[in-house]
Amino acid sequence: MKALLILLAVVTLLAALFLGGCAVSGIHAYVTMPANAVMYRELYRDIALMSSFGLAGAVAILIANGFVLPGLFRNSTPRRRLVARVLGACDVVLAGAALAWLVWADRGWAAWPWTWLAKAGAVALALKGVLIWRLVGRSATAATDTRAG
Amino acid sequence: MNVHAWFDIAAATAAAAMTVGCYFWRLKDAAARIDQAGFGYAIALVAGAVLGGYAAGTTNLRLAGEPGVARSIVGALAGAIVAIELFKRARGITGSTGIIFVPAFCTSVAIGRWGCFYSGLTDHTHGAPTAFPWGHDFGDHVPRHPVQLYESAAMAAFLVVALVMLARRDAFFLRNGFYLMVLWYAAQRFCWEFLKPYAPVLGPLNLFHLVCLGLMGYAVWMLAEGRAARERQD
Repeated sequence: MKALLILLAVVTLLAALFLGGCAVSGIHAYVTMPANAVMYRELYRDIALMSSFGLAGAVAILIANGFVLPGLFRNSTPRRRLVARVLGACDVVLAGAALAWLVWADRGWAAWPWTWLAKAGAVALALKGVLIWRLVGRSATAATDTRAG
Repeated sequence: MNVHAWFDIAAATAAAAMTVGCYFWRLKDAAARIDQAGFGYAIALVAGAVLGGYAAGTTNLRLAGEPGVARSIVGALAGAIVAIELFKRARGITGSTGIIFVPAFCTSVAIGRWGCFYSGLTDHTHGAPTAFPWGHDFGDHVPRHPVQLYESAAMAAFLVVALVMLARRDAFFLRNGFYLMVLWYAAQRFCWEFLKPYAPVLGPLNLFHLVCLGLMGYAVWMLAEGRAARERQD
């Protein structure tokens, strides 16, 4: 199961790095907009704004997965495992907050199926956090068992 | 964020779901090798893919005289392979560790290429003009080869084959599935590159042709090496 978490962290990191690059080029296009493109200024600005949100998301994913990943391996240090467990707990708290906000949003502006997809994502995030907490906590024991075997 | 980014998110999500599914279904043991390889494996994989992806994509763009930064999936694949092979050599790890990434890679290309298709001319992934009836107008009223969809279909087909092989627990595929996927991806991409209006760097070949040739050589070499190693064992 820990190998699966490693794989998912790697896939997520790659996605965030390539999406982050996409967002940076969106912002770069606005910053270096040619002077004769004034009529497209609003379009460039909207793309840059959306890209900024995308970049913020990519950075958050990079931090969360980039710091969890070292703690997941069999030969990880106690400090790396602690960081991974703390970030696993953060996942659960974040997922709880997102779920609460989505339930509130359901009463107002939100429309099916987007909030349900987002809720499924939040549940998956919480599950990932719980798994990290449980599996990383077992790392030291697992490593000892392996050596003994 | 544009349509490409949404398809990228869909591709990454589907690739992650496919990884989870295949892990529980057939590839639990294969994935354990990643854990044994250690943190350096993950670092090499991510760094190699990102460096290769951006370097190949941006170089191809600059060769066409276009400014900006671009990414390329074939560059990412080549970069990741170089980094992982160097890491494995340094750590004395033998045998393939890539089979677990096969379903995810095929899924991400099969879905992600639709994002390139819908992004139109600005994505620089469109094909050359064609008179074929399925030529697609990307916005400039010129029917062009929808090469993105050719690539998507090719990788979807390989994904089906890979899932059938996994269902049969085919020993040859479990050992060499990654190399077969690299060979297939590079071969089909090599063909589609002739239908793209990219700048040639060596005769009629563009930068991605050369990368694909390198990948095909790598895959054939690794398949032959694996076979020779098994014969020595026997």
